[in-house]
Amino acid sequence: MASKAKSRWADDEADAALDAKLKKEKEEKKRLKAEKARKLEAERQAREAAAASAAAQQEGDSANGPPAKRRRISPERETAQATGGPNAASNPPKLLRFEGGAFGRCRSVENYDKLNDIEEGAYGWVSRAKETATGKVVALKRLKIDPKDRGGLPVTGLREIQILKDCAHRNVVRLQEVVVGDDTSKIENIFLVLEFLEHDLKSILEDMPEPFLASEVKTLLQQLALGVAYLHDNWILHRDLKTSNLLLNNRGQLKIADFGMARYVGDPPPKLTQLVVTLWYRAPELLLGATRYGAAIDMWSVGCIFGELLTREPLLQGRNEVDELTKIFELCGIPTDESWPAFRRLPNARGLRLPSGSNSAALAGSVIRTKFPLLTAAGAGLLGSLLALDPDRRPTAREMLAHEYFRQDPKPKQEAMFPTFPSKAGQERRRRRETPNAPARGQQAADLGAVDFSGIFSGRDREERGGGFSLRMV
Amino acid sequence: MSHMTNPLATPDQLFQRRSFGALPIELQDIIFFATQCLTQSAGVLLQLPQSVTAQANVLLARYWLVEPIMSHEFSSAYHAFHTRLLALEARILYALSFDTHVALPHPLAVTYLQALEFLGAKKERIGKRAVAYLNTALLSPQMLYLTSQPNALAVAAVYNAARDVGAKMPECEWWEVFDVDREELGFLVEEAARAMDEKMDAMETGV
Repeated sequence: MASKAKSRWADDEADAALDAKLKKEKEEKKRLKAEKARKLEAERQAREAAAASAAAQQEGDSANGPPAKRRRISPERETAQATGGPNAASNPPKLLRFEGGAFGRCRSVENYDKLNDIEEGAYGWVSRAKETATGKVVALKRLKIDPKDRGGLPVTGLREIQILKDCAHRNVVRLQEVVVGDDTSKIENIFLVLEFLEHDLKSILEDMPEPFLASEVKTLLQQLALGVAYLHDNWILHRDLKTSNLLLNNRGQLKIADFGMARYVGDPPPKLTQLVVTLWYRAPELLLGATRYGAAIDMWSVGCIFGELLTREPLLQGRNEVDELTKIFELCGIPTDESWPAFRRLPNARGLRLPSGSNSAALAGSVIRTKFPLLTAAGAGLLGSLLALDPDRRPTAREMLAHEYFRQDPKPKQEAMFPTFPSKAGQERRRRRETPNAPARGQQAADLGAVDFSGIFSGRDREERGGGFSLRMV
Repeated sequence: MSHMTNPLATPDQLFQRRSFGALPIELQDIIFFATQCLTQSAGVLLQLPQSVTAQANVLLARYWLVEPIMSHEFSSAYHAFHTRLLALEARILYALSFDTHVALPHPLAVTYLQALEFLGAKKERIGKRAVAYLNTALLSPQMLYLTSQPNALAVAAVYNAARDVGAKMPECEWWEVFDVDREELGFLVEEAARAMDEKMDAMETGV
């Protein structure tokens, strides 16, 4: 396959030589096949006769010699049938056959024609392209490689490839193949060939004049939860869920994309970096420095996305880590030993000063209900649980899917009935990038130091008795 | 299913190995064996789990079926060596289409032993022996990991281990329970035993 694809660029002489060589090999193979069948038969008889004793094994070796074994290179199925004839039981055993495919070289990117750029972000460059042979439109994502990086290929890119290769789900973007630049003497241009979707949710939210209908929010959220549930079932944490990483096609299908932060985890969870997830979607336990965390960090991001789908605005737009935590506590209430028993043991929680005394109980409550007045009780219940400070209290993606929110009227809208949007990715215009990016690898984790949160509810307090705002880094 | 399956070498790939390197096949076998041993040593020095090192062994074996052995590997000074190494990383991934999936037979062998109630032998003894066979099979120039699925490798290791520790195997064709036929098992049992002998010889002569 590889040689055929290459012939476009090879000169005729080399082609002819190659053809001749292939022909010769084919003939040689035919000859070997016949010989092998004979040898196998001999080998089998030798083995049968000598099966019991170790001495017999040596005899088999000297009789057949290593080459005989080495030539056993055809699929076992045929030979098993061919030679198993005389001694096979009257009912041949029914055995499962496991097919894992084959392995071989990448194809060339020249199999695709570039149509237009889609975006050029911190993590690489994406363009729309057409597969020449099939006319199929795909997204080509180029791996950003720093030639000065002595650590080799970017591990984030390799993880994305590894994980996407393993994934097959309708709500996870499909990796068709990995291709490389035409000059294979040095592998410097690596492209992921991804399924093409017309939109990303972020751009749609920015441009739509009216928010999504309740039924549409449910469809999107349900698909998101299905995708996340699939990932979590397969021990994958995405670690960068946000609206700009959720793609939508014109048939109302949502797919999770951008697995540059994703990784496999185990149970119990391994020690991981807390420098993951774009700030606005980052769970409080990460902000507080947790290094052992699990699927619940993705569920927090799902909660943030839920809120954003309702208002078309990112829910928690912190300017930095401290500000992000402030906004979280303002929305969800301050953590207490009651609402989040383990939070005091997190590395960054030691320097935290929280409001105490008589009003702390009142401040511990969340204001999600009041902030989303149009949401049904079930919807607010689900959102509140996704945005639970305590990761152990957030629902899993599977539990979320079983939530009554999705069963109540209005029911999730059928995907086929979903409105369509003018595509940006299909046109020359590039996607805007206004959200902050996911943290870069090797970046220093923010040490929050001693932070005084005791005044963060001054806004709420003022309505009752007034008070000064005194968030500061000590 | 991905824990049960590997991409296997095609007959063409196995065959072209004899023709496409400039090196004689015997020398290729020696290089293969020595390199797999070096990979194992590197894994030990880096304190990597054997599951990681074994996957590296399998990936290297696959790579050398796609590209001629030692065609990209020579170099001298450290910086040049490092640069070469980085280029090789990309080269190997390119040759394998970035598919680094490897399903190892080790967990299956343990599961099969449990299912067979360790054939009445001492758990540690027969378990260790089976794992030793699986690790040694990684070194075999027969490239057993590229020609047989993990379930077959696991059954062969159980068979060899049981024979070595003198455990009594069921009289029926028990390997069929694990979807392995007699022919394949016979081949693998022999090749794994041969690999074990060769490794023992190599260790004695200090290769």
